[in-house]
Amino acid sequence: MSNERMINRISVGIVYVDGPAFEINDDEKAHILAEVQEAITGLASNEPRANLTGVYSTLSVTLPTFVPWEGANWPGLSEPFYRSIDDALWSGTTNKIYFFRGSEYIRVDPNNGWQADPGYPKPIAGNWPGFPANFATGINAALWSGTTSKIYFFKGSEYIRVDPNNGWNVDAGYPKPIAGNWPGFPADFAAGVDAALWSGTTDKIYFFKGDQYIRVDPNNGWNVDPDYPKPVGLGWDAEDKWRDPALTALGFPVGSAGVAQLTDFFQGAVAAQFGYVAFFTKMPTAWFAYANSGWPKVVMRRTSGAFDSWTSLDSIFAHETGHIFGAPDEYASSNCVCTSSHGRFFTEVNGNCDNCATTPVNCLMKNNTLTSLCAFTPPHIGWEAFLDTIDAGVHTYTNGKLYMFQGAYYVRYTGFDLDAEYPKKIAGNWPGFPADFAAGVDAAVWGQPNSRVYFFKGSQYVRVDPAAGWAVEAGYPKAIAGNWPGFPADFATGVDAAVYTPTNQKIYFFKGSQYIRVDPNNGWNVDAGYPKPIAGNWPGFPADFAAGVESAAWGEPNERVYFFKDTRYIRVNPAAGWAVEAGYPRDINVNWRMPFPAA
Amino acid sequence: MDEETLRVLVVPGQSPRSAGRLTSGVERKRLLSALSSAGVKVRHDSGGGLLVVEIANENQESALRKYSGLKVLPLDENVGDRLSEIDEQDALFVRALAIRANPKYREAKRRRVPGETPEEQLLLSAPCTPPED
Repeated sequence: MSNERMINRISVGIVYVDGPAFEINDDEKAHILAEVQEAITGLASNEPRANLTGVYSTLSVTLPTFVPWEGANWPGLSEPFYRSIDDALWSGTTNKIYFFRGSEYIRVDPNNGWQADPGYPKPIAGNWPGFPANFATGINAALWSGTTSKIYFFKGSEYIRVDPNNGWNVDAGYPKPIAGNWPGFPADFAAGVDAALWSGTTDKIYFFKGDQYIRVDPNNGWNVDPDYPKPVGLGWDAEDKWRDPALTALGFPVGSAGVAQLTDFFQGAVAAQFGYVAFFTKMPTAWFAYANSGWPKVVMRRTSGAFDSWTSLDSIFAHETGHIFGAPDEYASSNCVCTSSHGRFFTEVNGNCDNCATTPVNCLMKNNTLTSLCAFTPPHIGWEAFLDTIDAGVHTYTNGKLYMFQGAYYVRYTGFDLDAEYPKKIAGNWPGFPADFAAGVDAAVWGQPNSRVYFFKGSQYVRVDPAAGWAVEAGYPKAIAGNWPGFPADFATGVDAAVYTPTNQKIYFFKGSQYIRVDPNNGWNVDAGYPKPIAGNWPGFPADFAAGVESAAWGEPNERVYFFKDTRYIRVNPAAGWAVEAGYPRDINVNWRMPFPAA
Repeated sequence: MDEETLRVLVVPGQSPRSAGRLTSGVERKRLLSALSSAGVKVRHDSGGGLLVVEIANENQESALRKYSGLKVLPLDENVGDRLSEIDEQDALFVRALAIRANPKYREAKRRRVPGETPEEQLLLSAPCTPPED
């Protein structure tokens, strides 16, 4: 199972990846592990019924020959320039390229492998006089064009043109909008660029925006070349440069296959039901904390300072763990939308998305509040229902399916295989259900003589006709009292479980430690001699089941009766003295083809 | 971390890990099954020879102490001092537990305001899932 629910034992396989200039010391490793434990503890405290246990395995990998940013498209820049560049300029006088960022710039030599010159970055101040006043407060980009022998300065969505051969003055008619004057510019580039340059080597113009760049051909109508934009540095591939060597050093294949195998290795070794790998490193990455739920991995990087000064590592790790188990981002800059569906076990919209929710709340996926989940996260990570009990079960002969209900949800089985696209909400799928029944039922039972399904909630019940669109029949809900002849008073106030057994064509109702038997072929009357205690009348019932069950269901494929209590179940064979079979109770988890919290 | 109800279990034969590899899942399942039968909740697991468990009552702790070779230790910042012959991974696990049990660390966690750190603010400035995911 691929991290469908954040329940039971989850393997957190931690890999520390370091190397020269990227050391992670033992204090940092201990701090990281402490914060990860805090994260899992915090997550677990949100839903004790999930029975969440963190299983932590740690491995350390040192890469002695790692070269940061090796393979970058623009080699030798410092890391901040790989994050973003404000502007760039090629100088025909020096035949050099100048990259600007904030108050600094780096000079690059195209005739020396496009490497940055030594001694850079340097301050800009005092070296670039003569700017127009409104552009002098700061420019986004500048370039010298060999085609026109003019300099172009860009700011926001506008640009000006300067003629060095006319006293460095701005040409008449400027500023002008970029849009419409630079053909083929992507819209985001036309709204403003970070940097630009003309290269005499290629006779092309390069424009930079964020971590991307485009190339313009002045000899082809000043159009943008095909296949652009491209990343300036390595983009998300930065991770590959240290992750794959680390995987190789650990004896695993590179890429997603290696991460999947490493996850399995950690998970299998510690008998965990779910698992993911968490890489902690100081080596370059596209972003300092992110998750790929499909791999499945979390990557967390310390860009400066030590890991043990990162005090919010736990809450950010918990946030990323939320992604691993299917929860989406809810903060505005994630570009979330309220209508997108998420979750592996349950499916729910992103209703707390900050971009569209009416009253968004602060919580784990919106602002990293470790011990607060919005209403939509529990279904996303598999916590909405089916956590600590089964409320009701019923086999219906109309379609030969078995239905199990818990809270506002239900699942459907064909044989004993869980049908795809379940669980579903009761509301909207069982026509005519009153709101309180749609929020959850106490019991359900098949009525053989009339081929109806009965649902019980408190002192009331509804009757569903599968032959009429599975709708609740008119006149329901009705009170149990007065409509089920012979029901003892305490059973009429509500029942815990009900099951029809074709073996004897009777219906059994359970309430606390007692049960009654109803004969649908005898006016639906309670048989004489009931109620009786479960203990002593159902051979082999464990004491806690004899004290009361929470649901019961008929298993048509093997003609057995199943009783559910908390997170476990027992199986009774009517053909063998109605006794509990050997080997029971068992966990619902996995045995009922769904992940379910175990005791 | 509620130190009153948490204990560290030292499981015999699980640490150091053989040949630097983790113990087999089968052995681990047997151990966990035994703990589950005793009603003991496992909260953290080193993947080796240490488990952090929640003790519900005195009887449960007494029952645990009867398991052959199983050591039950209080969970505090000195837990590492009571352990010997543990492997590297378990040693790291214990150091992490000690950090978390430190009163200053706990007080800092108690006082923190969500969203206050620069890292949290940075996280909220851009998507944190690669576009291909």
